[in-house]
Amino acid sequence: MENQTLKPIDTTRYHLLERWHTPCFDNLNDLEWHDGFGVQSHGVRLGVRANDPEMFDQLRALMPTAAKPYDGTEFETIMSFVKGGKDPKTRTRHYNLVYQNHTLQGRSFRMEEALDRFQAWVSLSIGFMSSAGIFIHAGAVEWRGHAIVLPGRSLAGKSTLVSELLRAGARYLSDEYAILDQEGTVTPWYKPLSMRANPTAPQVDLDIAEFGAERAVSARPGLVVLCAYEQGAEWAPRVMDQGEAIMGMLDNCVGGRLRPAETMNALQAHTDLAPVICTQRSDAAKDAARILELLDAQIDQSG
Amino acid sequence: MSIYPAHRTEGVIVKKLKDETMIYDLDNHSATCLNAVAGSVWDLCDGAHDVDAILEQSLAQDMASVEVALGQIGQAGLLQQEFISAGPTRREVFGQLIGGARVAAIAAPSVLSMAVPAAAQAMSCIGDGVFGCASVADCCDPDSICLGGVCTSFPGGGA
Repeated sequence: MENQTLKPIDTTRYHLLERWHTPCFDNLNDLEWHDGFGVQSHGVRLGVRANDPEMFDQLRALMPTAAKPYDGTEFETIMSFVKGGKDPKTRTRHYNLVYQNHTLQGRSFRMEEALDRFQAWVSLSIGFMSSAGIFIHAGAVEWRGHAIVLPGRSLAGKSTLVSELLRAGARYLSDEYAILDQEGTVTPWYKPLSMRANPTAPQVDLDIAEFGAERAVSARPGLVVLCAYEQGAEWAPRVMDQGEAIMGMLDNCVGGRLRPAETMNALQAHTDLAPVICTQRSDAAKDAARILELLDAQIDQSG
Repeated sequence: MSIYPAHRTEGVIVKKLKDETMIYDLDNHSATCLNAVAGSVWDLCDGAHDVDAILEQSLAQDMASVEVALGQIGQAGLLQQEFISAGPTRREVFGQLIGGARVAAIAAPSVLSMAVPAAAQAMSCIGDGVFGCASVADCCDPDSICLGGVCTSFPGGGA
């Protein structure tokens, strides 16, 4: 969230919308909470509270770039952060805990890991509940007005491939979510690029300026690349049938179960226009060049 | 006795693609893709066509293909009543098609289904020692296991 001042809200007043409220959430309310702030992003109202007011600066910094302050009292999601640490009286070590609504979604002695989980669940909650678009777990860049969407779970190599596409001149949409509207147009989910040195290493956030890249505002359907990194794998793209392609993208949809009709519409609209290829890959720089070459040919062919 | 198969009309979202039919099952959150042959069989499963009429009017080339398509559509939970076939299996039909070398493989019915993932399955992976995994697939370290909701790796071993 950039240059926004978030007003604290009265934690005794804010509550979940009835659809999302559970008796267990009332139990969580019995714990002692401080302050809290509300944001709105992609049509989702999200409240934040913690047991320690010193946490709020850190938690604010983890809000999505597009988030705007929200002063209301009703939320689709309330994120609750319990700061752990050592109790000097009993020498007991407490976990840092992350709750999304009533559900414990993260627990770690290490603060940075708990904050990672907090941020991941903020993004996921917005992606799941958003009525403003269909969130696909994917890297996405814009090239000549068209989107290159790289759906994939963690460790599929999305961020590495996105970084190489940016180096090659593509403009940035996201390394986490491609957001599709009902016409299949891709809109951005801006965040720093999250890179890992290896599968077990923590993520390091990098500014896209380090890759000489700019942000894109939106992009028409261009090319979807369903691929997985595998050391030494050969680049061997295969054009997928549309049904198979939709299933591949659906497998990476965050809110597919909540809004299946809109999800299917958006995926159909996108794949009506964008060919979908699948391949294994191993060399991000070479593969980025190949992907751009394919999209260039596609754009030139379609005039 | 004639069989008049009928596909579900409630609790499903049907999308007609260029050559395929996509069906989203709202009851169990699964998606099914029918190729052109299976899709043409699906279209005729309206309770008014018996299997002979389906064979005649669909893209299926023989009764075995119709039965395989109906069996698979039924297995995906998309028929109002399960279709029980006494005919050959899909593997046998495919073997005949390949062995005969007279019909392109595209003439075989194909029905692919998948469970639509829950939201959390599409999120970033979880590091060792952190609570939040539902299965081993949620853990970043391929050698970790999900133990009591915590990604856990064992020295010198793994799962």
